[in-house]
Amino acid sequence: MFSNDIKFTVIIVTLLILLLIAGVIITIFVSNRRHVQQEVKIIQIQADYEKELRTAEQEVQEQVLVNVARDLHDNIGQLLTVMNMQLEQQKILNSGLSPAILSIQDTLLATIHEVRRVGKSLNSDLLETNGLISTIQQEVIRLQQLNYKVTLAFDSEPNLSKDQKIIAFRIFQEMLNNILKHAGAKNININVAAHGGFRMAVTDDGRGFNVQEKLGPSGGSGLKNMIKRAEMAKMKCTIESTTDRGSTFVLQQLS
Amino acid sequence: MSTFWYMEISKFPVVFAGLYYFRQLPKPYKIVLYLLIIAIGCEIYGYYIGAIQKQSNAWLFNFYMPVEVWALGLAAIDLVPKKKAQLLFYVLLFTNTIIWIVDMYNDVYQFANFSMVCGSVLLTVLYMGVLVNNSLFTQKNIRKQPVFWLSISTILYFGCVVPYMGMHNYLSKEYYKVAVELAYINIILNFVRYPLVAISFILLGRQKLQLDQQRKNTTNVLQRH
Repeated sequence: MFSNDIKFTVIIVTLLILLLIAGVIITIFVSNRRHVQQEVKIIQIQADYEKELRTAEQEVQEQVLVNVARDLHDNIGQLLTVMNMQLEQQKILNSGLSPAILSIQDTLLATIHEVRRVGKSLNSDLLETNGLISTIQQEVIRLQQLNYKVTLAFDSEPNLSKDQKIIAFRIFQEMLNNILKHAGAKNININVAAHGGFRMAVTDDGRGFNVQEKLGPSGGSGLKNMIKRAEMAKMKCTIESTTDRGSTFVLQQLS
Repeated sequence: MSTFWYMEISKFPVVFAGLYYFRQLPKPYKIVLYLLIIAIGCEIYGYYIGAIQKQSNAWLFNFYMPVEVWALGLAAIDLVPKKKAQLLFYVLLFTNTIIWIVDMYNDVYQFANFSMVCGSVLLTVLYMGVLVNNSLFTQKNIRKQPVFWLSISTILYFGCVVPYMGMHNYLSKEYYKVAVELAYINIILNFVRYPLVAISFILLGRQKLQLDQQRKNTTNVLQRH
């Protein structure tokens, strides 16, 4: 009888220790789970905060651009027009006006035209009125005037919200800016597709670059900003480039 | 086939898992693998002495005891990065070794169950420390951490074996039949312990292989550019 008592005591003590260990393990398990969930929440909050911050930044930037565009149109544009009118008046009053002054008027007219174009390019309200394709076409014309061989292919106006249009256009401008500044390209092909989701591809035949390096810590902020802005508009911006074989920038709406 | 052989055979998948991922295993896990191989050797030799030659094999397990405690202790020290904790672990291991030496001085041919109990409690405490240090404050899911499985295997075995080992010598002398019946506690705990060690080997091996593959891919991309 005593041997049975010992046996059961040993078994019960073993089971109690097992229970104790199980309890400790479960506690650690639950605590870890809570810790992980909390960490996920913090990361989510940080991501939301950064998104809001970037949206606010974008809004402020757009507002500044609109103000600059308005000032260009209303102040500088008006002053230049007045100046042109004064020159016209002088032409009527003094028939023997020197050819040098006439050439100044030509430059003045070109300046007025350029100020209007820059104003339009900066003013995102025009994107809403004219549409993305029409605004892109204006940029294409500007590039063609700068002696670049540019082709534009599109099917129809993409179905995007106002904010998405603004961001897509600003990214497009950044793409062109990069090509003009760094690529040394002669040919630029732009392809905009609206059917099956918005997709815009800009290809150049320039000198290309190391994408990994430019997107790394040593690279500038231009390309990284393009990718971040695209994410903000629920789009994906991909860059492919090979040295001496040009680059392709693709902006695609996420489904 | 006796339960002893089932117990030994159950260890082989763990050894295979360890050997398969051997290159990926860091030092503490390699120590556990070596210990497992030594344990199989000792147990088979102990079985040969005890069951076939009908002699006492207690001395063999007495000498295996500090090897196991030190091997698992050193693995625990490697798994805890804090210097103070490592120092404490060393102190506890040396203290346990002194207890073992005293036990050996008294009688080498009698199973040193007091040393065994002390070693078991020590390893349970050490691996509790390892578990708390590696799992409680981590941001990763502990189910995917090899150290979690290694720790619970050690804690479960050495924690639960204490009552049986504590009574072992008394029961062997006074109630041999009960001692034989209760030996199943040790066998069951062995069946639980080693699959958990195998999980830790497999998890660690796979994670290391994935990491190596990712590194390789990154290097390829950088080279391509």
